[in-house]
Parts: sequence; C-alpha cells; structure tokens
Amino acid sequence: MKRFLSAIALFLLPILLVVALFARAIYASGEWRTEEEIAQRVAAGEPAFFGLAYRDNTRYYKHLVANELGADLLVLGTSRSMQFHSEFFTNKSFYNAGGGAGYVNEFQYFLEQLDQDKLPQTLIMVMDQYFFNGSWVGTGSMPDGFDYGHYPFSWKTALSESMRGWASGKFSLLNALQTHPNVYGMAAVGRGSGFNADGSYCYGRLLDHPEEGTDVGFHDTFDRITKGINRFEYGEYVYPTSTEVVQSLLAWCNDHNIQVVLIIPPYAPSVYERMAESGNYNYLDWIPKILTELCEPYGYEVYNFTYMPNTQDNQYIDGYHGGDRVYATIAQTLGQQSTILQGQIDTDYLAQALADGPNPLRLTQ
Amino acid sequence: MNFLSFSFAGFGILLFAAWWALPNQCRPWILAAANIIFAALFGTKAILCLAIVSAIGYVFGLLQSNRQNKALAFAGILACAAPLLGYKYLPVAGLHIEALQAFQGIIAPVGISFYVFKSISYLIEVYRTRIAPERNFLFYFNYIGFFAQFSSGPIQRPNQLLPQLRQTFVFSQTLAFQGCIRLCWGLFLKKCLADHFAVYQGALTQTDHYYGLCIVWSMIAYALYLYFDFASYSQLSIGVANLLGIRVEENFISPYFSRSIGEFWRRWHISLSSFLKDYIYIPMGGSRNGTAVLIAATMVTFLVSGAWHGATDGFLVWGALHGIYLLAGRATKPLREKGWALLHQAPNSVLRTLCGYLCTFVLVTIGWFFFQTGTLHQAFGVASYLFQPFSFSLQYIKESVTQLGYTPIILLRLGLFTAFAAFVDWSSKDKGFGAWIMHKKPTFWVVFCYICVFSTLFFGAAGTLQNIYFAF
Repeated sequence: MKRFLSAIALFLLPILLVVALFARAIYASGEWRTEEEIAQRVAAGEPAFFGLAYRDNTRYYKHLVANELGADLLVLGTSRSMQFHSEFFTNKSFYNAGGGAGYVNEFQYFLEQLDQDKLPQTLIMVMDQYFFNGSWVGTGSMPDGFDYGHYPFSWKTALSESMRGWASGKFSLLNALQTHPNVYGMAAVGRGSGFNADGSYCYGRLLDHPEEGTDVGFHDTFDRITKGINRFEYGEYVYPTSTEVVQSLLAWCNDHNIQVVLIIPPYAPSVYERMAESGNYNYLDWIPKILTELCEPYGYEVYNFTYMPNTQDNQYIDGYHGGDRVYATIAQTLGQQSTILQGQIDTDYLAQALADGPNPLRLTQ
Repeated sequence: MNFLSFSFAGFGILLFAAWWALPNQCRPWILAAANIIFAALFGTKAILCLAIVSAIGYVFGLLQSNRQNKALAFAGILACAAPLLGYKYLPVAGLHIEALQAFQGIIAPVGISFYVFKSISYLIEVYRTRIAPERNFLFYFNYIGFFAQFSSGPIQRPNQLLPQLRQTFVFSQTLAFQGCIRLCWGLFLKKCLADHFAVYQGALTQTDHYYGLCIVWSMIAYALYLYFDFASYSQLSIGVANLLGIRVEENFISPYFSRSIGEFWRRWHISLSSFLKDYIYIPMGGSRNGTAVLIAATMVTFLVSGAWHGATDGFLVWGALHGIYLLAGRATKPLREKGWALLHQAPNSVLRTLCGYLCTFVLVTIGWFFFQTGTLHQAFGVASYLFQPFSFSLQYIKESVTQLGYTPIILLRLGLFTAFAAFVDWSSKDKGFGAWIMHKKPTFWVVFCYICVFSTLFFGAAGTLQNIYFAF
C-alpha cells in the first residue's frame, strides 16, 4: 500500500506543478478581482483595462460603473454599441455602457436602476434590428425580469479554461505570468481584449489577426442567414410588443429630461446585401420609420446605419460588429447631422483618426 | 454523482481510505453505506426502488433454497422485473391508452435497468443451482446495489461478484494500478473524445439546416460518441472497483474491430449481450434446434435488447435490425466464403479483415440511426433529408464538414485522439484492455497515463455531459 501511494503521489506531482503554474498566471492576471473593485478604480480615474476571460458579468459591471460615474453622455446597447470611444466626443463626462442592455426591454430597466442623480443628460441608445423581429423575440428574448446577479470567480473553472485556452493558443503563459499594471483579467492580459476605462471595448489581438476570428469571411453569419437562426431569423414586420416597449422607454426618458439619440447599428455591407437578396428580412425597412414616429413627439433623433456602403467588409470584426473605423464614421455622421449631439462630437479628432491607415480595423490614432 | 466530478473524487478517496484502513469485517458495511449514499444522491425514488428490488430478489432467492421450483423462479423474476416494466412501458402505454394517461409523466429511477437484470441473473443462477442462495442480505445488497455499477452497469454476474464480496480483501498493488490506469483511460475517452463528438451531431436534430452528407458525418460522430461514452463509463466503473480490490470483466473489447455482427455482439456491452444470450437465446433453443427456432430465438433476443433500451419503436427496429443482420450473416456465410475463396483470400487475410471491419461498422452505424432517433417517425424524417441531391465536389464535401462546426484544428485533434483510441483498441482486441495494459512495462503505464491526463487537461471538453447509458 505504501509503495502504491508513493507511486501515485509521484505521478501526481508533475500534474500539480503544471496546474500550479496556471494558477499563478491566473492570479497574476487579476482574473479573480471583483467588478466592484475595478468599478471603484475607474470611478477614481485610474486607467483600468478590464477583460475577464472566464466569467461574463458585463451588464453588472457596466451598471456599477455607470452608477459610479453618473456620466452626462451615456451610450447604452448591446455589444454593437461598444465601439464608441470617449475620444470621439468633446464631452468628457462620457461613459459607454454598451453590453448593459441585451434585450429591448432591458434599456429601461438599466436606467431605472441608476440613482436619480446618476442619470445622463444625453443618451445614445443603440437598438439592434432583431429586437424588432418577433421570430427572435419569440425565442425567449424579452425576459419578464432582470437582475444584476453575477457569477463569482471560480478557481476550478478558471484553471480548466485557462489550460484549454493556452493549448488553443489563446495566450502566452510567459506573458500571463508577468505583471501588467492597470490591466485586469486573463482576456486583457492574454489577448489585449477588454473594456477601457471609458467603457468602450478593445478587441485586442483580433484587430491585428482577424484571421483568428470565428466569422472569417462572414461564413458563420452567412450560415445563419441561410438557416434563419441566431439573430438572423426571418421576419416580415416589426413586432408590435417591441414597439410598445420602446414607446414606454422614450416616455420614461422624456419624464426624466433625458435627450435621446437612437441608432440602428450596421451590418457588414456584404452581410446586409445577402440579407436583402434573400427577401426574408423585410422587417428591417419598417424599423427606422416606426422609431422615427415614436421619437417625433419628444424631438428625439433616429439614425439608421443598417447599411453603410461607405464602409468596407474588412472594417468589421464579424458580420454584425463594426470595428472602430465604422463607429468613428457613425460618430462623424452624427457630428454633421445631429442637433442633440451638436458640439459634443470631436470632429477634428475623428477626421484625423479616420485618415488612411495600414489596418482597417484600427483608427490611425 | 458523475464519476468525473470533484464530489465523486472526494467520495472515492474517503471510501478508499476507509476501505483499506479498517478491518475486513467492516468492509461489507462500508460498501453498503457507500452504495446507499450513492443511490440516495439520485433521489428517494432511486433508493426506495433499489431497496424493494433487493428485498424481492433476496427473498425469492432464499425461497429456492434446496429446491428447484420453476414457478417460484419465474414469480421472482417477474416480481423483480415488474418495476422495470412499469417504469419503462407505462409512460409509453399512457400515450396511447386513455386509462393509463396518468402514467405518462413518470420517470424511471436511475439504474433500474441494470440492477433489475442483476437480480434476474441471480435468481436464474440460483434456480439452475450454479450458485447457492445468498443468506447474508448485506452481501446480496452490495451485489445488487454496487455503486460502481449502479447507474450504467456493467451487469456483473452473481457468480463473479458475490464470491468477491464475501472474501477477505487483500490489497493488490497490481490490481490497484490497473484501476488507476483504467480511470485515466476512462477520463480520456470521455473528455477528449465522447464529449467532443457529442457536439457534432447537429444534422440529426435540425436536418433542414444541413446538407444530406452532414447526416452521414453526424451518424459517424454518433457511432463514435456512443462507443467512447459508454466505454469510458465502463472503464471508470471497473477502475473504481479495482481500487477496492474487486475484479470486473471487460464490458467492451474493441467492438469496432469486429469482422461480423456476431463478433460485434461478443465485443459490445458484453455484460448485457451475454445476459441475453444465456437467459433468452440459449434457453429458447439457440442455433442447435433448427432454423425456425434459430430465427425465433435470435429475433426475440434482439427485440428484448431493443426494448430494454427504450419503449419506442426506434429501439425495437434497432434490435430487429441486428437480429436480421445476424440471420442474414448466417444465411449468406457459405456464399461469402465461396466469394472470398474465388478471390484467394484466406479467413485472416488483410483485405478480408478490413472489409469485415468496414461492413460491420456500416451495418452497426445504420442500426445506430434508429437507436439515436428513437422513433420511426423521427428516423424517417431524418432519412428524408439524407437523400437530398448532393454534389460530389470538393467544395460540397468541405461545406458539409464546416456546416457541422468542424474546423481544421478540431478535425486534426479529434483525428489524432481517435487514432490513439483506435491504436489502443487494435492492440487490445484479443485480450481486452486490462490484460493488454498489464502486460506492458510500468514505464509504459506512466507515459500512457500522462498522455491521458494531460490531453484531458489541455484538450478535454468543458464540463462533463451525462453518460448516455444513464438514460437507460
């Protein structure tokens, strides 16, 4: 028995050493840090770059920071709103809470949970097209309620995921073991992806290696269009309940003296063209008309960027997430056309940032 | 409790420590406690059902002491089988018979299919006087409810397990090492193969989203998934038993390296197929009482096998298909022998062997089609998409693979791991995994186990899916 137990212990030793190495990397990365701690650092003006790899508490984190900062200019929406950077705006009381609202009825919930004195004066709301598609909403995508429950850090999950991630080439172990000041989380340390202090998102390594993405050539998005699945469900008309939700939301904003700019975010040009060709997405044409009608009583603005032929496919991260250049172009258009945002957009910066550069996914500055 | 969970690891370590630290007289009680705890984790229904079936089998076994009473044996078998028949078939009957509608929603307790068959095996062996009735209820309960075999078998025979449970356990380093190696192998099969292949079967459930060829790839993935998943469980179960000093026979011996359906059933789920052979096929007359008896025995055996897996028509068709395969194989054997002789191929020639492997695999995979779909309605639904027009272009083939979610890296990894598993299966196809590995040197064991463990750590699937045979 002693010999057997000794043999087992000896066998396990290298395994435990390897596991310990990854544990050290996770510890060094700050993956274990809490959203509350990082939110405090952001509120204190520290340049915290936050990218967790093994849990997703985005909406909770965004709400925490939004409530801490109480920015005058707030961006709210899904992941398709995250590319608005503070540099695009002259108003430095800015926060991008993109990722804080994943469903059409979550916008109002997010805002209602903010303290009264933390509500924005101006709100840029990015409303994804499928919010208005009954076929997508019908898949359970208008939850009855929300809460800010969030996942705690788990060593078991983090260790197993980190080992798999390293084997998949997602990060360098040597790099992860080093100290990275003001950078928190394995995604931030390992791949340079995460949330900047202003709430905008950086895609990190993917910007320089788009061939590593999951939607190269938009094959995944085209597959979804062919099958009519996963945010690309077919739809003829706008879902009435979604319209009612937006109506209530706009009335609420008006009651709280919030100026609203509604944006319908872009698809990559070839993706939109494929959708249009299929003839299965007629509801898209109705969205801007209906939203404009809803906004008119309050003097709110609606901008439809569904199809941006002045952008190129290679400026998109995937079929429906534009890169920084796409959103800088959107901001530039808003600077030219929006009355509500007049004077709040840094057109000089945008002109320089949109100058030709070597990487279509990056701004030149 | 999944074998591959931290909670089971904790349970196992405590049990191992208590088992070998305490005197032999305590071990039956320790095992009984472990069996009760394990069964109780699956709910009150599971433990109650186990208790009832154990009691029935024990009492009917004792009633047969000193007398062979066919009626009594039959009554005992029926009494043990009644809960299984009720749980398995009343819900399906409830779908069709209004009076039984109340039974539609009932769910069978975990493991019932396995320990009921163990009880039946016990009662038949007692009736045949091959073993004496077990007078000590503790030993009998430990045989029926042995936690390592509780949820998914193997269905170990009483003449193999009961004597071991009565013995004085002496720690065997060789057996313990074998147990550890089996745990590593089972871990690899489950996490690096089964749980990965489980993901690539989309074409079997959302057929309208895929090319027809995708269904073929998905069926191959399913065939591999089913084997790796079930084989992994068996290895883990045997490994756990080995660590307690208990020997368990192999449940799988390289079944996909079978040259015929008959050989396949000597290699696949051996505990069940040998149960069916010994208690249905041979008593019905087997192959030695004429063609009519052979046909009846074969078909009844395989229909029972299908019915054991599930109450739906898909399983019955699967069972019937294998019966037909066997009968057709027998009927065409002379013709096939002539054909091979014309081609100058000896029985063990490479060509003949490879053809045998391929044909058997294809026939078995066709059978799995009905097994997976579960009902004929679903099977025909999927089949209607299988025969869509398809192009033989490279682009079509490539798209049929990528549609399922495969990438070159995934294919490479799965390919390498499958090749590794095939190498192990090929090497151990004569003796079985246990005998094969124990003939190797300790250095080989260490390297083998490190390959399994590190592959699992770095490439194993996230989370652990429930073993498929848990559902039966």
